[in-house]
Amino acid sequence: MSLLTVDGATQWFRNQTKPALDNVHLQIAPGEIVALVGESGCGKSTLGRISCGMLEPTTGSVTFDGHAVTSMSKRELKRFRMRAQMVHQDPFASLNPGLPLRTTLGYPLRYHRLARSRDLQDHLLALLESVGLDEGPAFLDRYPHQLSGGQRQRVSIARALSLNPSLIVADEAVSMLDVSMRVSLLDLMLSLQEEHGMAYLFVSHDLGVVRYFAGEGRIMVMFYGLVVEEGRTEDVITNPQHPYTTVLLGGTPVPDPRRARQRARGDSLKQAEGAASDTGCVFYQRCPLARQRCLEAQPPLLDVGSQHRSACWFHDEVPAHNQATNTTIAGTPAG
Amino acid sequence: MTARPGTSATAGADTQLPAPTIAVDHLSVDFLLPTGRLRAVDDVSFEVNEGELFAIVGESGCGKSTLAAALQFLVPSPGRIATGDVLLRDQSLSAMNDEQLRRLRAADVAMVLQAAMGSFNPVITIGRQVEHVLEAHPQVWPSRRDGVAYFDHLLEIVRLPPARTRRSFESQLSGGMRQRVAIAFGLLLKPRVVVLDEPTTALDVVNQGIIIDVLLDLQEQLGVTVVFVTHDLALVAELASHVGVMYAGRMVQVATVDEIFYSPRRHPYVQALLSSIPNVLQAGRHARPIPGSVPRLDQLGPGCRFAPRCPLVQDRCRHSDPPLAGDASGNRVACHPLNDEITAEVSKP
Repeated sequence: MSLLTVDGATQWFRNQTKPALDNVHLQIAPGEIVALVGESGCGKSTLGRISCGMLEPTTGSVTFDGHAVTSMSKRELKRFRMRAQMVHQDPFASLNPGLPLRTTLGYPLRYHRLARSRDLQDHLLALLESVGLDEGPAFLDRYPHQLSGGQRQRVSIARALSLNPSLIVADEAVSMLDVSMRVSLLDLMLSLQEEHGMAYLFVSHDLGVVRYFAGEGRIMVMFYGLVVEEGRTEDVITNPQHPYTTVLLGGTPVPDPRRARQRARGDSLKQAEGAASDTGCVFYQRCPLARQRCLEAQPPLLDVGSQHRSACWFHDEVPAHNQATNTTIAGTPAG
Repeated sequence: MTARPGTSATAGADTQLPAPTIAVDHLSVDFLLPTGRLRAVDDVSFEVNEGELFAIVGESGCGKSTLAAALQFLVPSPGRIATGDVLLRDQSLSAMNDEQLRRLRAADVAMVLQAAMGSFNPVITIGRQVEHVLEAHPQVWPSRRDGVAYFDHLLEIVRLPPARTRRSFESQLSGGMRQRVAIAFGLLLKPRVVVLDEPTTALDVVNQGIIIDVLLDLQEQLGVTVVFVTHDLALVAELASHVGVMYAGRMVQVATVDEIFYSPRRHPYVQALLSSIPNVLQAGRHARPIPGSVPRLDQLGPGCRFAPRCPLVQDRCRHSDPPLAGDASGNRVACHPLNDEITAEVSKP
């Protein structure tokens, strides 16, 4: 049974002519990693917020652990919000600057009665240690501005982890960090998953990070409120079945200057400009494969392989992403 | 497919003939804090030649943004330039008075900040702000109409519709568009050098790609020299022709982009950074974090600052700080074991 099911979610925001999410389906099994990818404004964060109960979709249903969220009692709702936690993008904005870590981290534990006042400190120290911040009790009296970006994001993860969630929604959780810090945070989140077995809904625009983090999981590619491709991570990245996925893959910078020089310039603009189409396929205006049939209606998400679905009539014409890679980059040791 | 600028310079190393566009000469920047003096940039020297795309790379707190600000002699208080100089085509910035520096900052070395927030006045249109800039610097564009026409030309290069963009307020532009407008602003007074601080941070992959293309086009069409600051080596691979890598206030390697990515003679820190990138072309858990953490600037020892995290560390690395030593091809590295290799090579023939 799936842990979370979002069924046919459509989300309208005020004064908008198109929905932010348009009839989106999402299932996450216990312990599974699902990555949502797409550019700014594609609805991936909206879906993330719906998945952890921060937002109720305009239409459509959300089911967590077999219970529909809309029909939950107050107590069940409280429990749902405890078990579905969120890690935000910006660790500057997501930690209250006026509160020491002791208060920020202690409040949820007290609210949900997971720790008593007298053993709160031990609990918090153990928690910080589990996210790699074993700096002693004085650390609990620090304020967010006294921490580095990486430390702050570890505190955010600790806060989410403290309530033993079965789902963590990580919304661009590493994109504000230095590249050199990202891997250690991703490794931390993966090792916590091995230990506690929670599921992740991982929202990111960076396919390099997604392939690393959700290598064993699934990817859903979103474009203007619609899921245009979904499948197992390796399938989607090595054998994309929607032209938008190839655009995202082609735009992901790689640490290989020779390869970068071969990239045709100008493509980024052709493929990036132009909003969603109003009639027919949402990707029509930007699509290199677009033709008459695409103007008729939005293609549905159809099976194109094992657990692999695409919303493109011409998915078998989508070029494979060039995987040829220069192994001298990360392969050779220094000196 | 178009050849990338800077690649020809990559092939030949003899760039000695013309004076470098910017030469940073033993520059140190101090921050005077109540707790004492912090040296954020420590004895940094490098040169940027005309038409290069020079990347200053490093992690948060390594001094890269301070160094970028120092290229305009504009270090935010309580910082001050302690020693050294910046030379713009042999003109010394330390010898300039305030008025000369003001002109230099506008029309010779322009700065484009991390533009997503706060670079624009939110209550007047982009067009009005262009006029304000032109009013303040009549020496560059005596005719305001010509100035506006040039701004329109720049907007076309950055792929924005000129008339509509000038009528817009900041709030009507997306993050990626704002960054492109900020770049056009930076080039309005025809600077020789434009310095960009984290030009793609906070943008998504699609907008990052546009900024990369736009900067390559501008460099090619206007011949402007570009210096940019970033923490992202993948961006460096896409955009830079030359690279300076900073670690804890020191420049640890200055080289062409190919030497950084393909030469075995790279600083162990650069190697560690490269190994830490999650690469979309590789499956599995291939990336490795850098062990340990960046040293605090107020707790530096006498030796190499990377020594506590370095896989090549030797005894002497803990006692003496290695200088930047260059090999025959112009690649300069500050690392004792690598410097020995270079010395052996130079003395061989």
